[in-house]
Amino acid sequence: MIPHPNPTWTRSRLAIIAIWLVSAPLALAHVNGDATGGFGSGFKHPWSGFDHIAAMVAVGLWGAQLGAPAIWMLPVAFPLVMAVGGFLGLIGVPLPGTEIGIGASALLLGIAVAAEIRPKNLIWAAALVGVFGLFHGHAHGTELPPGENGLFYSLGFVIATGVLHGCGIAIGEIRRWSGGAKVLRMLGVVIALAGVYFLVQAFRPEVQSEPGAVSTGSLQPH
Amino acid sequence: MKSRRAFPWMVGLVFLLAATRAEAHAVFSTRGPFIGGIKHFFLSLDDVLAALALGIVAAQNLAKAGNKVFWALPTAWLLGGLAGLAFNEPVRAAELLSAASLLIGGLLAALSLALPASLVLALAVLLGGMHGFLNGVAMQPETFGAGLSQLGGIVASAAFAAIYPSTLLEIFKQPWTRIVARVLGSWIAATGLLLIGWTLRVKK
Repeated sequence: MIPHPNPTWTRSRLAIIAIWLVSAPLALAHVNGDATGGFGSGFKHPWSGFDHIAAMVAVGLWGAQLGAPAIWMLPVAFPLVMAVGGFLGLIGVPLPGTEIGIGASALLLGIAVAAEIRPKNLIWAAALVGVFGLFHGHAHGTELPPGENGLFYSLGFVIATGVLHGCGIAIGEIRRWSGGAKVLRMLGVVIALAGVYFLVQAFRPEVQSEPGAVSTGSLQPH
Repeated sequence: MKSRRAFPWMVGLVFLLAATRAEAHAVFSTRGPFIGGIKHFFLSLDDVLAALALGIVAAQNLAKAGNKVFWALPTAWLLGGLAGLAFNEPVRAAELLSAASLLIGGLLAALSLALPASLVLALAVLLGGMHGFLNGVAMQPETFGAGLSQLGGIVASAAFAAIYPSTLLEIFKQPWTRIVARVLGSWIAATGLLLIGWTLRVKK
């Protein structure tokens, strides 16, 4: 049983935290425009395409559905493999069918959540998520703008990916409530349908023929 | 007991919220080289992430090698810094070396392997020495004493950055803290790998 918190203590702690927060001085860490700009644009990049958002949130949703250890194994594996894809994209190693792979990732991960697929060996789930991470990373790697601070950009980019996974996990936790599991599966259906749309877009001749074609679900040109 | 457990988090929160304006480098001439070294360290993200990754690896192998790392890392950082001060020439592959250290340290933290004590110590000496050396060559102190003092600030900060997360992990012997450490490790490794790609792309 969770002990009932002392209301006076809780209030005073909250008050202390509130005072600290409001008295925090102007944050001008690294006034160097390169660094802050690098972190900002790196952090914003994964949010710039619905296809990336859908797939990364789906990773979190599936992880939450599968429970431990998948709930943390998938978010640990994804950034690492995504970085491998990003690395390949940065040094100019081509990866054919990137947009198709990204569309397929949303479709298959959506299906995995909708059907609540539970692989007997979690390695298969990690491998599937890893392969998709490769495509997403490669697409981002080829789109990274030159002239930013590489370290800050990379860190912002990785943290944003983690935040998207975290969002997926947090949303996935509705499975604990009555009826939550059904809502979760419905979300999987929505993501799978979005995946179908991304795939159709990826197969459009103009997207296929354009060198360095932009992400199919982009909100803005990269 | 709960308030005791909350204490380290509160200390961290105070550090975060009490942050003042960051005026990297300008501080060297106004508040003394030691404080300048501290500020320089915390504004050099690659140094902070490398020390953090090493701290996590040390905490994951605390029984075998953890405590030794906490003196080996600052010692190697200091000796490397002194060597860098003496060498005092820019290193062309500095960014690449830094990125590689993030990849190695982060990957080991993400995998949370039970490593032999000698390997953990070697890692601390190698990475600490390398980051210290890169700090040393980048410094342009007016006198050797000022350089030494600045280096002292950097080394003290590196030791803090490595020991503080390890202490948190040791205090909160909960499964979720181990998971947070591994996720952080994977983020550091991913950042390192992307930075390697970034560096190679720029040099194409």
